[in-house]
Amino acid sequence: MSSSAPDTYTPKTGLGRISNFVDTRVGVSPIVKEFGRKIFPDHWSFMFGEVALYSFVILLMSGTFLTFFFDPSMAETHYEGSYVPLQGVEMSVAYASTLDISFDIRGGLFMRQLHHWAALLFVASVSVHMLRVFFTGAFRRPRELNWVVGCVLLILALAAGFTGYSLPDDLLSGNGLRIIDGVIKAIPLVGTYISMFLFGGEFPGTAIVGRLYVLHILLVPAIILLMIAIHLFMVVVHKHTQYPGPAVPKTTSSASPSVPFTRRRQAASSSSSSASWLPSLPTSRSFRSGITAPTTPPPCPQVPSLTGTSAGSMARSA
Amino acid sequence: MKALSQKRRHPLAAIALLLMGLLVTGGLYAVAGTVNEAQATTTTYSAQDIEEGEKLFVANCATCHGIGAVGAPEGAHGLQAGPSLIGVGAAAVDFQVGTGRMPMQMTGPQAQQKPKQFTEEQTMQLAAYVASLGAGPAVPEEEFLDASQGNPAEGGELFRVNCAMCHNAAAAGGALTRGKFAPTLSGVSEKHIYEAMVTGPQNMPVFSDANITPEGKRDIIAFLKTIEAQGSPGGLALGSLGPVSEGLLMWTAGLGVVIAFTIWLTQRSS
Amino acid sequence: MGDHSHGGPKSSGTVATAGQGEVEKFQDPGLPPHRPRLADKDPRAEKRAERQVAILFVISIIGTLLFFVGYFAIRLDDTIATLRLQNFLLGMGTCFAMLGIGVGIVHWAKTLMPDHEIAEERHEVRTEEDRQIAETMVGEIIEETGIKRRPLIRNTLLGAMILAPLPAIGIFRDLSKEIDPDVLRHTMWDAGVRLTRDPDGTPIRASDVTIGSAFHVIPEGLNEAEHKLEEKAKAVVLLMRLHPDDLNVSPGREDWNYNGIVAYSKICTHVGCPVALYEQQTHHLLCPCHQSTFDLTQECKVIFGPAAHALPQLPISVDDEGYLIATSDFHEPVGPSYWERG
Repeated sequence: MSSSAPDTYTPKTGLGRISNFVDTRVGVSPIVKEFGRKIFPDHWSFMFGEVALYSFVILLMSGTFLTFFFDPSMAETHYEGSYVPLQGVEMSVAYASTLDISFDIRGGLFMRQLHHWAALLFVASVSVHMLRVFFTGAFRRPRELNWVVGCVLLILALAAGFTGYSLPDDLLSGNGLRIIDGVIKAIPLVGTYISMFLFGGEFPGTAIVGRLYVLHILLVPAIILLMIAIHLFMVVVHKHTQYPGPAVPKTTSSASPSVPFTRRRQAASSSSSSASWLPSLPTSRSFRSGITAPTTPPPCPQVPSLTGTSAGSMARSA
Repeated sequence: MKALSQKRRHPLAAIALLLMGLLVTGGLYAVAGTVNEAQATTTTYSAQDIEEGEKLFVANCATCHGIGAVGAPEGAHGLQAGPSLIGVGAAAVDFQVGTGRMPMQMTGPQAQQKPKQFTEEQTMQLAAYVASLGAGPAVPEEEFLDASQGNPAEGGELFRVNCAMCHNAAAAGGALTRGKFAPTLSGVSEKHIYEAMVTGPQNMPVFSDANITPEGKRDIIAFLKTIEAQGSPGGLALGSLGPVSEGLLMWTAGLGVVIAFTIWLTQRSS
Repeated sequence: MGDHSHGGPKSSGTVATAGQGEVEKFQDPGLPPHRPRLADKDPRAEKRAERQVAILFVISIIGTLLFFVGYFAIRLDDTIATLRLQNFLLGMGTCFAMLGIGVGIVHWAKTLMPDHEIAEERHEVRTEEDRQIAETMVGEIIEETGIKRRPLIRNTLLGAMILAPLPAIGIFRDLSKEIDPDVLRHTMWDAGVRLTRDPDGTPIRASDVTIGSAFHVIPEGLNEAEHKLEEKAKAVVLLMRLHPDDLNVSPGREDWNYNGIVAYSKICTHVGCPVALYEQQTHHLLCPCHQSTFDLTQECKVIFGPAAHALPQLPISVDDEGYLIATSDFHEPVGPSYWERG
């Protein structure tokens, strides 16, 4: 960053002074320059990744609320909350605190439901996102590594789901844990040991809920966040894929072997896309919006370009 | 029904005495299979009830269950043989006929509940007739059907141990093998819940008073009626089937709404 | 790609040159001409869109208010109905609050913000020039460290680096103090232990178990046991009575049932769910998790589903007082298979 620029620029407004203060110290301008007009493919099937991302954000927020009230202890207690059919019943502290969140903390049940359904949508949208990537071939070079990161994210999503499923210590949790215990025990040679390490001895023990809690609220989400960061970084490096269509140069293989990873350009409107190899997909619409200023890379006809919109992504990130 | 229940009172002490006597005399093995009979031995229906009941039985039930309810031979009239009804007791008749399961419309994995075919009086007469053939569980007494006297929490514990694996923890019912299923318990009357436990209709195991006491059964009824009355705390229960129906909803309706939004989002404005 | 301020198909011109060398079957039509939207042409449509966006934001505000009405105006009074109403209002309020903002902004962007399409060039992930610079740099760094010339340093460092992380793994040893796979072979059952009802622990007389009955059974003293849940997870038993003629007893198990009364482990041999769905007429035991089905008449042999072993049978008899007792522990480990089970 040039050192002369901050010296010659004097902001006029208060907001300008604040942003200039930040900009001269951490360099926001180049970031804005890079991402301010980030374009996004305009086909709906490209949005499942974002749906998954926002599901995860909701999971983090609702989950944080729940941690303030949940007590991951397997100590025995007698329930004394307001849910009549369980009053006086012996249960674990974890389950009792789950019932308290549901029945005695205002908004607790709502947050549990939010967390629950966001988790279901998270896994579902990750899966559908993967299907889109798979069936459009978007996992191919140079995106193989990002596909692998995506697979890891799906596994982590399942891990987060399972560890969360087991926390309330209700009937479903118990069955889920029992099954996992059986699955682990079936691992040749070390299965019994892994099971006993996990449960702190025999099933069910008194440690598992606390251990899964640490995995659920710390370890797994932290790794998911790291993986999301890597995933998005690679999306920025590669830029999005795009459906083929008119005004898309044919440069995929023969013309330019040095950049075989380049994909074709935006499918544009109308049904004239007879050359499209995906004629049945609803690619005949495009949403042009948002950007008037040109992004001007060096004109290089061998490198096909990609169009998209930014207003959509801007709106979604709101 | 009130008049009936008054006639049926019998001190439980007699059962215990009888049992002790049987144990001492070593006749245990022979009678263990029919211990339930002891509880209903003195239920008295009028002779006229029994007579009317027999007529109804011959006209409606004997095709499968045989004359005298001894059970029909295998494959008689091209039908599946009905079991013998000697010793099943009045409770079994009251449940099967009272919930419309009997007479069966057609053979199948299990008799389905349907609009009942007999009036309460006819059902009582049939029960009287079958009860007269051999002692069995009687129609339960009112005091054990009063959910307000039961403890729903204790009933819930009994329910989760004995009933929940077939009928689902929320009593929504569930699948069994080869087309059979445990029905939902929502909307089933107290009397029929009790009778089902005592008689073990079709493939349901019997939960005799020696297994779950009448008070325990009342607690279970109290639990069922409590969760039935209060409904689902969080809104739609989706059949109370847990992850299966929830996942299905998310993968169909949930993703459907999301796709509708994304399509709208990426569509050009007109 | 040039200025798209009017959204014309200018880019197609550039693109067309790109394809000139190739034999094209179809003439690339290029991007279609930009089509102005209603709000671009008609000031009234523009005004209307503006109002719609504002209404959506107002809906969001109403949603937030609805949330607070639900939160503060509804007092939880220990009834499910109030809870349900509050939950509903919180959900609807949040739904409107979030959707109002989201839908409003998207509608704003779609109808009122410029809708010109732009293109962005792809770049190679690396250039040959960068690669050469990087290669030189890495080579110089390796050279400066001298690691190739000093194998002693290299090898000791490698050894140290392999060993150093091991404590990080070893320190987890005490996740389980004692590990003895042999405990999985034994349960609380033993000769003379009475069969008692789950959950209250009262003993069961043989005469209580009528044909068609199913008892959920725990060993006597379980409720007072130190590791109650661990013991229960292995020791739960289902007790049923069949007509003795219905049982096919294999040699060696003749005295394991008592007059048609049989006791089997309730822990599925597949992955350990409670197999407690007993059909008293077909004598099938069904596991609700993965539909393994066991035939009680054939000593709980698997007749359907993923389970690999029959359910272990608990040998039973009666004591002097007529109560059912176990005559030994299970003769094989209960529950899912594990490596040491053999």
